[in-house]
Amino acid sequence: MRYPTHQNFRLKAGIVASLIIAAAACTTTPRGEAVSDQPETATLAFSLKMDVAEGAVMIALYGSAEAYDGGGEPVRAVRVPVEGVSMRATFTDLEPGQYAARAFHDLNGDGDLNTNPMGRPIEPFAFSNGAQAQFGPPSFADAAIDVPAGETSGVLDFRR
Amino acid sequence: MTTRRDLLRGGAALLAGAALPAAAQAQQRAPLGFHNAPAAGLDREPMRLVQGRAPAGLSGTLFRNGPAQFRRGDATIGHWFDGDGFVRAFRISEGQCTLSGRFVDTVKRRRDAEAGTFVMPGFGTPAAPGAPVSSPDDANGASTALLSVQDQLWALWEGGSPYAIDPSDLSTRGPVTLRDDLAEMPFSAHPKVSPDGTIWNFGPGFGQPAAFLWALAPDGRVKASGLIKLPRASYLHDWAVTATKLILPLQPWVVGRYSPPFAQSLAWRPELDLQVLVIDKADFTKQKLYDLPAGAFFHTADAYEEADGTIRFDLCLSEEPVLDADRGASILRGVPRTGPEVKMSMAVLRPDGSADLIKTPYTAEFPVIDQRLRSQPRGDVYCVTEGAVRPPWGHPYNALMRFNWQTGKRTSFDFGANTLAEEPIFVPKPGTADGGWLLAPTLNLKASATQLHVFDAQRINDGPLATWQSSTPLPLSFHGLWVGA
Repeated sequence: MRYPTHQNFRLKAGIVASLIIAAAACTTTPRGEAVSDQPETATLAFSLKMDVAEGAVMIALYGSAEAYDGGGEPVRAVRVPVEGVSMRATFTDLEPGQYAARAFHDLNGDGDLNTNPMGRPIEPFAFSNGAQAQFGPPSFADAAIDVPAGETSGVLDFRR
Repeated sequence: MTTRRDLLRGGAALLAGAALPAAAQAQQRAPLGFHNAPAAGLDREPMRLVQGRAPAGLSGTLFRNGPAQFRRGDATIGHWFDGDGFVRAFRISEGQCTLSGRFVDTVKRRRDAEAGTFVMPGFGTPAAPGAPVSSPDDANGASTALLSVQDQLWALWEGGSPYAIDPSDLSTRGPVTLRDDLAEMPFSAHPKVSPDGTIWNFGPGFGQPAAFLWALAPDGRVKASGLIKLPRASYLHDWAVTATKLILPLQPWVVGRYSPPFAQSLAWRPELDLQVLVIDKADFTKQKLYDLPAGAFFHTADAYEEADGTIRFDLCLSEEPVLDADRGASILRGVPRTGPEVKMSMAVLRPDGSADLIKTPYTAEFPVIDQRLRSQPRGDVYCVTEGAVRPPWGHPYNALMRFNWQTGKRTSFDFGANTLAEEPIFVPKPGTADGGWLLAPTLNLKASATQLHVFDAQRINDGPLATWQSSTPLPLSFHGLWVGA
């Protein structure tokens, strides 16, 4: 017997639109980074909430609607190994401004947001500002948070 | 003159209407077939035997599913298909019958309940702005059909995962992930169980010209699966399966420009004809496409292959879609049905690539067969049909029909204008090769009660052998199955 597999082709994003999150390149693990004491820069600290302590959280932080909505480059992209169900990820030395994060919990640690054959994400994901998906990722306007000079906190909740 | 509303409410309730809050008034306006089931469910209660006697040997449970939450506050949901699933159990033992029912505890139901209105999207209901829909299962009402898998019932919707239900108390165990990498792939409401126990199903591409194919072992383990491309993005509701083939009829009801809700995106394009894609069970890449005159359908009965390779399957066909966005909404609001009639028909697909539709003049929906004969040449099909006088609302079925394709003979039983008939289920008579009973639920508008009738399947024109009546009317259900004791 022979069966085509889902590798043969994939559905293009459509009605049940795929929540493709830009694959966050592994850069640094920000835990333990010192919070900048220069007042003109901004710090954004996310508290991360997961169901299980496994894999890694991948966060891509965008500084503009063009980059966030249009598939552009994130300002920062980090990989945070998950060692507990409650953790923090801190971005320091940011230009004050508006930022939005797309993030997913890479349960199996393969670096990708795994999807089913119809392109639906099957690993937990989250957006900044508590923005919810509705047949697709929320817009930059919904996910953006104001990050003035100094420290700002946010939450990325991956719990289902 | 007695109006339909009087019939429903009784005069006292009509007078009391003015003093009721909007929510209660909305519920009062609901036609009895489309009123809310009790939110906390229906605890198991005996049904009263109002006629005849249960046949000896009839012992087991008829489980049924159907949407049952149509109103929240003063809002009415957008389409019949979008109400939350309510699973009911008619348990028959020693001549007695009891009835119980529970809503399936879905994410959709919880979020709608929290909001106090309908916020989650459906087939014909738009999502409220900001409603969280991160996956198709968030919109899954588990409202259409049931499948029995080992010790579980699966409540099925069209575009999401099965919801596991405990058959003993109808409590919800939760959505089923069939395999981790196939999480949240759609599993339609019309799986077909082959005689070897393999569960075949498809998942619709919902707007994409594609379908996902499933073959599950009897324990629910995925034996095979695959995504196939379709020549068009037809609305897929039901299909048919033979011993060696999977048959996807592609009606010319297709997704045009997508604008939610889904039903609003479907365009009727009869010039595209009714295509039928036949796929080899053993090799999903082996496919053959047939062309039939345009027609719309929701349900098939069964399919089989003849010795020369000709494939036949019965389907209930109409000139255009019956429950489209408009009619699926208006039926809930008590608007009498307009639109095309649905006729018992048969598709014939020949090895030389030619194909024909045979249409009978008989109105028919919810067709079923004796499951012992599945995938085999067969004459009889059972279904609901129209009685001599139509019932008052949008659901035009108030009679039961047995039609035989080999003899052309039709027999029927007319419940009368005060009754709405639901899908019958064929129950094999123990110790017989072809004997059986039809279990036929109805909603009696005059008695304001759900009834369950038992017919001798071969003598339905004699009328019910037994009729039980509940004290609580439940809204109409779609599909069910029998689990013998």
